[in-house]
Amino acid sequence: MSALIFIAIFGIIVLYLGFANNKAILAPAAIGGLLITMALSIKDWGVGSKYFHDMIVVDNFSIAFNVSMLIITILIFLFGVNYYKRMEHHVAEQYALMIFALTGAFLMTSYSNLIMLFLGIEILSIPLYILAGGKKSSYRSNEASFKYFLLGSFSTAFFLFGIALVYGASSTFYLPEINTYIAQFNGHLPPMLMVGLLFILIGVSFKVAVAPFHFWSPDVYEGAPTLVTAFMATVVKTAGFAAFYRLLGMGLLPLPAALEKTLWVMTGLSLLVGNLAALKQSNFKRLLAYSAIVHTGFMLLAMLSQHDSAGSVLLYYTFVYSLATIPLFIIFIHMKRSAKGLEDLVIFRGLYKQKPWVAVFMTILLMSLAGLPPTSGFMAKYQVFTLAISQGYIAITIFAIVMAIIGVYYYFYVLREAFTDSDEPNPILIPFLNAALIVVCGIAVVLLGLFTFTIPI
Amino acid sequence: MVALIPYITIAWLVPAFPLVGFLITSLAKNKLKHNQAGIIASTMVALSFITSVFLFFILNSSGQDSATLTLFNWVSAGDLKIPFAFLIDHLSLVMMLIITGIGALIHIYSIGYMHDDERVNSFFAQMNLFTFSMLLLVMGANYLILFIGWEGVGFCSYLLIGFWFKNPAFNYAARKAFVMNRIGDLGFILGIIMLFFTFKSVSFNEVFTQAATLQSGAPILTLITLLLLVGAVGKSAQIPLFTWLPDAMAGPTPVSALIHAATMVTAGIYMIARSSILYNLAPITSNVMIVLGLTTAIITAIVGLRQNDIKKVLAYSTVSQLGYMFLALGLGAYSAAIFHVTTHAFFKALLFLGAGSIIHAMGGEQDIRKMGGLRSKMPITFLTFLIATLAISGIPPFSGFFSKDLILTKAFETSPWLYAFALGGALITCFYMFRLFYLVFFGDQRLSSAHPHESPRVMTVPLLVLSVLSLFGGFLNIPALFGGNSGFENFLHKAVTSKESGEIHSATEIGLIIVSLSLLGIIILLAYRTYVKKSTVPAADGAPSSLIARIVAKKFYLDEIFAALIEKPFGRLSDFLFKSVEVKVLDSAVDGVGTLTSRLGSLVRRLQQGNISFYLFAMVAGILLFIIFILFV
Repeated sequence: MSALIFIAIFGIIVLYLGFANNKAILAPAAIGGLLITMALSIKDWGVGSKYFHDMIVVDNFSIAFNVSMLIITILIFLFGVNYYKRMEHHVAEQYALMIFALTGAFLMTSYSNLIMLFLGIEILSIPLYILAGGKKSSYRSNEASFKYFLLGSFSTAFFLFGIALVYGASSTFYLPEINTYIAQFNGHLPPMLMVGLLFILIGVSFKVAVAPFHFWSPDVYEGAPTLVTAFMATVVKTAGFAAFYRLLGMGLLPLPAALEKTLWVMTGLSLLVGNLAALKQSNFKRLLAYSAIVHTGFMLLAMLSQHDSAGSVLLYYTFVYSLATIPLFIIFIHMKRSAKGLEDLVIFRGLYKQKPWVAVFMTILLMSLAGLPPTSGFMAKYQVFTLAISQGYIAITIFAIVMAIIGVYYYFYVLREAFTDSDEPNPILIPFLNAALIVVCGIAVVLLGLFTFTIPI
Repeated sequence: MVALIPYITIAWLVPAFPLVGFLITSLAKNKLKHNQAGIIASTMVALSFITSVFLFFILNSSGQDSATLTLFNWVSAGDLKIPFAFLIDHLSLVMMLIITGIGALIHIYSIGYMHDDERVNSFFAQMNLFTFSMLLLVMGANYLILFIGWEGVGFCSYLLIGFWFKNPAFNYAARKAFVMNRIGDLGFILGIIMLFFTFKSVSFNEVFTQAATLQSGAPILTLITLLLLVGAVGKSAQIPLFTWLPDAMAGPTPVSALIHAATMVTAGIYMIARSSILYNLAPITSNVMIVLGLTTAIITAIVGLRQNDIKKVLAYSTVSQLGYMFLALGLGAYSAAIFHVTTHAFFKALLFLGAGSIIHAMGGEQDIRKMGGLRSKMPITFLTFLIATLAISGIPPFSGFFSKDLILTKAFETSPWLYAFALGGALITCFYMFRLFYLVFFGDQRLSSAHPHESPRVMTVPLLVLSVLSLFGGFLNIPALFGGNSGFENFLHKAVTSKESGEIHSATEIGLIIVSLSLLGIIILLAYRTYVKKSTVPAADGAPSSLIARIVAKKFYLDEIFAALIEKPFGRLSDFLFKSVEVKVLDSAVDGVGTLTSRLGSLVRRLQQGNISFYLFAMVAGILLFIIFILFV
């Protein structure tokens, strides 16, 4: 709990640090604050306490996800040191907004009351709307921000409406109480409750970009500043899934059959639509957006398997996925700079010739996303599949495996470009700190695959 | 008495040394200069040899019959539990000593022989890899490790036969060896599967313990032993799978000496001797082995009569000697077979290395019709070759006499007819070996362009060591008849179970020896008259000859028969599968899936046009569909 309070106040402090007019202190200060938050979080490990009339539950699950998101955010800040050097104004706001978003994410991992979930999602989303429009002079950045805001509000409306309907039926916001209330109907729920639950699920699905509520993500990923895209693809996704798991795995499951079928349909659609659209994608950021949709499908598969270990599988999956995704965005930033702003896959041409080791680590990272051994991405998918098979979901698992195989195509398409020689090579510059972090992430991706961890949550 | 178990753990060093040698020579093959690769490779094999000798003394002084060294649990899936373990007993020790001892000598010899080859480093890397695989083969404590070694040596043999791969004919020979071995391996692996199916284990100890409880002639045992025999027939070049071995002479001569004479081709003999308990219970298989072995021994000896390439003659004689070993196996005289493996390794390695020395001196010429008069120019090679020739012909007191006589005696114990045929084969062997010997070393030099010279010491010293072994190797197993105690056989009796056979009277035995020796004497004289006195030189290849001579020269048309029976039908089948099934059905199906997916991709991508009102429309449509679904379906 102290972590949540600290990070909320700390965000404001970072915002005011902007008046110091010294960009150099921002990153160290922000990272230091996050480290303190992490220490405060870990202090509560194993205690398990409830606050504000049980509206917030701080347990091992929320702490594990919070620490995971903190590590990823620190990684983004470290990469950001070079990225924000070029930025003249409002750098402090960038850091502060990400920290505010993180505050919302913390709420999303530890709510026990639908109102808290709503607050968490909004606290997370509003800074993101601003961040997505961070490049004020860029038409596309503004467009992304506006689209995200418009579609986001739309889904928020459904989400709120859903909460209202559920409250109308059960007269409670508390998840455990809703669960008990549902249980008494033996699967035959009144329509109002059914539609209410559906709208809540749709609201959360929108946040993690589940098909058919994924339309915003490729456009926003493409238009937002790349570092913000990286933040959205990793931290926001992790928070969204933590919230989803609290809603389902620790709350509403087993759902009425019709709702569960709906979720299975969304899983299959995410896998299919994400993959098919990625196949023909030539813009790297959009490619990763579609790939994120596919990964969402895999994580849904784990969650819907309804097994006690699903939480820890999700944690592992989101963490190793983030660890592979962020360095890829960083490599992309540098390639884009050397190609004078182009975002097509062609910009990776000649990477192997000029920076062979970057190409090698990029291979490892892409292999991890594609789910090839010996990387941790393989182990993550492997755990999901064994989990689903152990619960008897054979057909959908086979479908998911086929989708994973199709995925290899477009990840390796990027690699093919990287290992092709360029006709007119541009010099590629990668600062030392970034290079070192790419190497560290690449090694971590392999090591986590060789020594998989399971945290009892 | 030495406590056995603590010391036996060094056994893993035996295969580890050549493996390290392989890694060094292959990884640093562009950096090693001059003779470095050869020296490293030879040292590694020599170290293995020293370790094996050490193990030999440990096992002997311990009083135990065998020891198993388990390195780690290798396969563990359901019923199948296979440890990666080595079995050290008297049989595997004999094989280890042969492989590392003779292997070390051949490695040293190769330093001189391969001196000028540009890929000498790869050569030694492959030789070390071969030694490693061969050691795995004989040391493995279960059929699966044996099989790894079995495939490993096959692969190395393929690489080394085709070592001079720029010559297409050599490549063809390598491929032929590989494919023929594959046919055998198919039987072998089926045999292993049947073993597992029957005994739920592939470990030697467990299989043999369980098999001992089965009845003699049980159908399942006959099937297993026959399948294993198919593997052995391929590897040890017996009829009908022997034609690859003469062609394998395309490889460098040290390869022929190590792989295609002393070690790899005896793997089949080893495997059957190792499974002696199974074969004792399968009389049908034993009879098959007798027929196969004897037929191979005689037919290939006859073919050897008409060969004019020095290495081909030796190759056919190898096949023929392997036939004798199979005969011994079929008679249940497993230790006699292994004894012949040992002496054969000595004298056949010596013959091949001697042949290598001659080829080296003749500037690459291998046709014995063009040699002659080398006696004075290459005295050491001459002397050592003579010893080897006497040994293979079975003249006492050379090593071949003891091992061959043992097999002949066992044959007589079973049936005088077998003895007569086996002796006939031995006489032919004697004739073609002396034919070769006289043509090469006597008479006048027939090729004027060559300037023969004695080989360097790095080559002649191994020759001398091997000739000492060929001379005295037989004394390892002096039969009771000559006041010995059959030491080698008794040594092996702890590891292999030979069949009991009726003793024959020692007077009969002496009579048999006198008969065979006098016949051998006559044969040697005959060869001397033909090729030295009359200086007959075999006719050129195209010269007109009788029908029988042509059949023999054409190796009984076996290659052609194989081509018609196996190669052509299979070729047509694979042609059909490729052109009709692969290209038309499989390829187009796979391509079709790809094209379809790709088209769908373009379609889905078109949905995403950046138009926000369409996004909202799609989302709401989705929501509505879901609502209808949960409420009304």
